[in-house]
Amino acid sequence: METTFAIEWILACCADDVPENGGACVKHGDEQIAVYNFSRRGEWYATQNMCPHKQQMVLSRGMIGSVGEACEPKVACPFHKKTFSLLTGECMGEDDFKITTYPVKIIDGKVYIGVSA
Amino acid sequence: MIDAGFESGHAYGKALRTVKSCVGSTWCRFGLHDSVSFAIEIEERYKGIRAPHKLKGGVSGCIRECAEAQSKDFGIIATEKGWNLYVCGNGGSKPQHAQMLANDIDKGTLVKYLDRFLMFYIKTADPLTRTATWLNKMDGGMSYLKNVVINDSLGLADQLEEEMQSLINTYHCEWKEVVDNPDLRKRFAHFVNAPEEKDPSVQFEPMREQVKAKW
Repeated sequence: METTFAIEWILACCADDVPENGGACVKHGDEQIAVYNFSRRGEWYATQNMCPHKQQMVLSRGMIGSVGEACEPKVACPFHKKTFSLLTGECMGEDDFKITTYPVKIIDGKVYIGVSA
Repeated sequence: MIDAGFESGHAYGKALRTVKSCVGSTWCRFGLHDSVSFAIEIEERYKGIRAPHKLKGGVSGCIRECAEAQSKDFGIIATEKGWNLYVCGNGGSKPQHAQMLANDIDKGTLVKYLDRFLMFYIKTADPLTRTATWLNKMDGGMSYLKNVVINDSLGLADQLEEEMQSLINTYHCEWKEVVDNPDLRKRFAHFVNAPEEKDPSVQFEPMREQVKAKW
């Protein structure tokens, strides 16, 4: 059985507001969403801003890169360096953490993040 | 603080940290020379320079070593005839005393050796390696290092000094640059779409009449 979720696209910010090959934090109600401008790959990603390790709101400040043969994109938390896949949200180390990921689209230089409606 | 003349101390960087000194001849009966002024000169000279890892230095006015210069990446101790230069010490969880590179030298010679030593370290050490580890892994150890820095055995001295000078010439305070530049300051807002709002998850609690963040 397929489950579908309704997506609402929210306007986050201008694409220029997010540093190249870096992230920025977007406020959406009470939530904090980290959006990443992976310019080296021409791709955009978004995840929750909170690192599940010590519940710190910092992932948008983390370094992004890629790993492995498939060059899976990842973000590293600046505090304790836990790494998370930007595709699946799974922690790439030994820990069991998973972070929420969100779809991103860029229209006319503006960043839209897909949140559940 | 910028307006009051403060500069970044680079405590966050793989860079020179503030140089420690004792009170020296100005205030101490045992002080052989003015360690405070020399420490300030060294700090002013090498401030902001990035390196494979942090650099900590100290200047003591006599062998009683109130500045603990021998536990630093570079340490300077006053003698009757001048200054002794010690290098590759370490504090922290693996303390290691610095070893003497040269003794009884004048300030000019010392600064020249420091230029060469620091530049040689910057260019040849592996990333995130302190000077102590770098020396421990070095083939030929201290005698090789002395040869390179003092006797110019690799013929690099002029180049090292020039490169150090160009680093010194291009220094600017990165903290001041951000404070004075509204575009750079934007990067430090927590929310890109609500720049005036602080992160609500960061709470402060009072402690000793100050505030600390609750981790």
